[in-house]
Amino acid sequence: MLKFILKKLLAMIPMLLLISMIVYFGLQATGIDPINFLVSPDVLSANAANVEALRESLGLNDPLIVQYFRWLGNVVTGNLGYSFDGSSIAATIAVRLPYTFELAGWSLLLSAVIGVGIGIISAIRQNGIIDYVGRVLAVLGQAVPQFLVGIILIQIFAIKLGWFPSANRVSPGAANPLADAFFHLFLPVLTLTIGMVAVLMRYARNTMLDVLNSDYIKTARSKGIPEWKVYLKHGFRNAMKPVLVIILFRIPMLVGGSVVIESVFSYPGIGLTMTNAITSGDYPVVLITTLIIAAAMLVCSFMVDVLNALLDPRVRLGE
Amino acid sequence: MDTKEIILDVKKLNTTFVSDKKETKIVKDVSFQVKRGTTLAVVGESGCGKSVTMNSVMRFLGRNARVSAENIQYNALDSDGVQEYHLENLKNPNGPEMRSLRGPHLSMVFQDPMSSLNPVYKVGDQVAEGLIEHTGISKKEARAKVLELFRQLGIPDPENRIDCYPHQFSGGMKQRVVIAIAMICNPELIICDEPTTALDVTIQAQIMELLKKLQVENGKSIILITHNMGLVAEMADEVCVMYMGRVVEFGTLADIFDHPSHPYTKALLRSVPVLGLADGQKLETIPGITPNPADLKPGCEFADRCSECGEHCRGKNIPAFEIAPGHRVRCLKYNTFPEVD
Amino acid sequence: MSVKKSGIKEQNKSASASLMKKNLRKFFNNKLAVVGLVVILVMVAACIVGALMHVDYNTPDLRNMKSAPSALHWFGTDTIGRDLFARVLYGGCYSILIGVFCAVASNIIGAALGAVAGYFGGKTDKIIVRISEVFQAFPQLVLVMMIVAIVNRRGLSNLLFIFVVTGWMTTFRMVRNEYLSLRGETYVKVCEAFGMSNSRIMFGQILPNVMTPIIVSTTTNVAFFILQEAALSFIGLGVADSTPTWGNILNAAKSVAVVTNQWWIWVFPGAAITLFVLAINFFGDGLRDVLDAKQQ
Repeated sequence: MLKFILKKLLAMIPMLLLISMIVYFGLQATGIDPINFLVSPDVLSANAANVEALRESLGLNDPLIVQYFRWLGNVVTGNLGYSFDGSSIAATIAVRLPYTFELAGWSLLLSAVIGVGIGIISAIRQNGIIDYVGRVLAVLGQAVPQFLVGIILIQIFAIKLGWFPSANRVSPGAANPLADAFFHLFLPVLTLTIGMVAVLMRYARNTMLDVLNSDYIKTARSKGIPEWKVYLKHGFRNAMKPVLVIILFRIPMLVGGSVVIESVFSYPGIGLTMTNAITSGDYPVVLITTLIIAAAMLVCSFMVDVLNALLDPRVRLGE
Repeated sequence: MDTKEIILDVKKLNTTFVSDKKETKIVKDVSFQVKRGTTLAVVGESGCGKSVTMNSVMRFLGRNARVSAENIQYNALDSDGVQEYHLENLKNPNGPEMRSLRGPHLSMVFQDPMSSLNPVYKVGDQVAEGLIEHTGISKKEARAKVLELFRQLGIPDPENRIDCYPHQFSGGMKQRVVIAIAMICNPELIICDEPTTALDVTIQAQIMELLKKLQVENGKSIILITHNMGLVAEMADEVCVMYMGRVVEFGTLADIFDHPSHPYTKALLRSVPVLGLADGQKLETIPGITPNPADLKPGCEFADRCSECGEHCRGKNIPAFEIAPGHRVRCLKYNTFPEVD
Repeated sequence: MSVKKSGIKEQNKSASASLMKKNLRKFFNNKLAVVGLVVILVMVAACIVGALMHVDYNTPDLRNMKSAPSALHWFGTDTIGRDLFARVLYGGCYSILIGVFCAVASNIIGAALGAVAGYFGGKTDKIIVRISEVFQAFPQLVLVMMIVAIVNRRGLSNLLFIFVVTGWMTTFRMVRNEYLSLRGETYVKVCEAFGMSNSRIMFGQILPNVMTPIIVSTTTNVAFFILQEAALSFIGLGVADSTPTWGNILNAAKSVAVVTNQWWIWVFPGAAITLFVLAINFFGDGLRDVLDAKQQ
């Protein structure tokens, strides 16, 4: 098992390198002067007279490949450069990334539990009321644009009813930070969850149906064990792996979705950062955030591989 | 009915599959009996309803199947006498009464060992599961019993193999595990649904020998579903021939092989390839193709392919006639003989 | 002899004609799919008619800015007084065009690459797969946003290009898998033994077997690209405001004031998108049911 994990970890490295190369050369392609994002504006203004010397000291006259590796070294050690407005990109990300994790994380958890739960019940009690309602909701949930759902939720729950705030993550001077977080997160998480549940429900239902049609379910029944054990121990246990893999595969879409939702709710996560940066032409922020997001996605796909192995002895022990 | 002699009595079993708006009757008025301690072979082409019949008896079919019968009676022999179980009346096919029978009394060996085992659990655990469920013994005790059964079934190196996963076994070994699952609670009646069709010929022989040994040494009753007449000749005491959901002939091994009466039975036996065909002599086949169960017309199902078909064969239900004690044929050629149900 | 030949040809023709009739009948039995098709046709027709009639979607009616739906302006007017009905009609043209073009183009590229990778295997396969993996390491929207930022020029053709370049991977993976498994089929070996060229085998022999999932995925992708364009335009990174698309119009709904006070500005384009996507999904499902059965 350990060997498997190590192998997968090592396989991540070339991908990370490739992605960093794309980001770096994308940065170069925007045509901005690297000096603008390598040093803070204070340093820049301090050296206004001697920009050339500063350039030289930063190695900006070296060949591109060398500059790339130097930049890569900086990134790995946490120096992500500076945005056009002077702030350190690393500092911004350190504040905003956790907010996006909160949003995406809660949405993932809720939609996994709800979506898979409904999907499985739909498969066991086919054509029952839950199955029917679930299928209608799934169809609608996939057709209505997510941001529209957000707008409608804001309209109803934030404006008309006033139960939740319609924007931001923190209300200044809030008494209880946990309650504050809950109220701010509720609507955005609900929006994202609705979209994910619509997709997951169908996959979970189909996977469970496939599993329940397998021969080993009949074998389980032939032993005379109670039905709930058949569904849980034999059915769900086998459906678990493909369902979890599907859930984790949806994380990139979740992140993409949260980029849009953060706009709808003015939620200060990394998605909103990126959107604003594009609008204001702040390329360093755009590209570095892309890099961070892509790296996070790679880690997710690594976790999919590990989960695959944990749950399926055929993968773990090799067929 | 002598309940000591008959272990399973099935009378007028009908199974209909309902899908959307269509209803298709797959098993029609099937009746047969299994004598205790013998092997009943159920033969017929693929699609004739053999598996569906047995799955109906074991109540394995899903919600889209309607199973009805005059009698599905299992007679359990214990120290006090005979306990009768009427399986046709059970409202919940997976309810506690049926489940108490599955394992300790009735069990089934399925066709495809590759897919019959749960890929994520060790084989030892899968075999022990039924035992623990029905007897409540501890895991350690169950493990010992599983080991012993593995040795009996000829699984090599059982102490290590018991902790292996299904994908680490070969086909023949997997089938032995499936047989172990069926045998672990010591049932009296074992239904084998084409247990060797998915295996090599050599492994086939081993598995069939194993089953025969179980019957002879332990007095088990076996229902063997197969389309291989050679297997029937080796294993069966009685034979039930099915075509398109009906029992067309039923009798002892000698009855069927020495005096095949139904045209279908005769055609089946003729189509078994034998050594020593003359040059230019063709292999016999049954003309025509298996009809779609939904397209059947009233009358004898075999009429379109029967060389001895007559006008009166199409049109109404053909009853069964007893042409010798214990030998029944569903064919109008024998309508001089007494009718049986 | 010739009589016998034409007999077989006629038999084949009538067999395929009756299969077609059977499939059509099956399709029309699926009421949802038929409704979907009707809705699609009606909306497309309306948009085309609107465009041909040169409905005025750009001139602001300064006396009726931000006005609710009325006899004069069926869907009301937007924040600077443009007729919303005209904008939704015209926007439909662009949104649907974007959806269809991107779906078709990205599926052609994805299918071609998938065929090449799955058929030739080996190094070619590894390289193309690696490229697709790199693309797929980014969430699609994020990748689109990054390229939008680098390219820095809003425009319809740029958008189409970016969408196609970032959207071929799913079809690629599916087609590649099919080719990998069909590659070993006996009829392929027979064609090779006959000396058939690689491209003829790839596109003439194997491709027809993969057509069903490609067609179905093209249909569902139309919905996907329409939704993606809407999301992108909503956050302000789509085409310029002068070209109306359904997403563009919804951009105004970023302001909470508009959401509350001028509901018509976001309800109508939102409803249009939802309706069209629903119709496509139903139609695609019905299509899949019919085509899948044929494969069997």
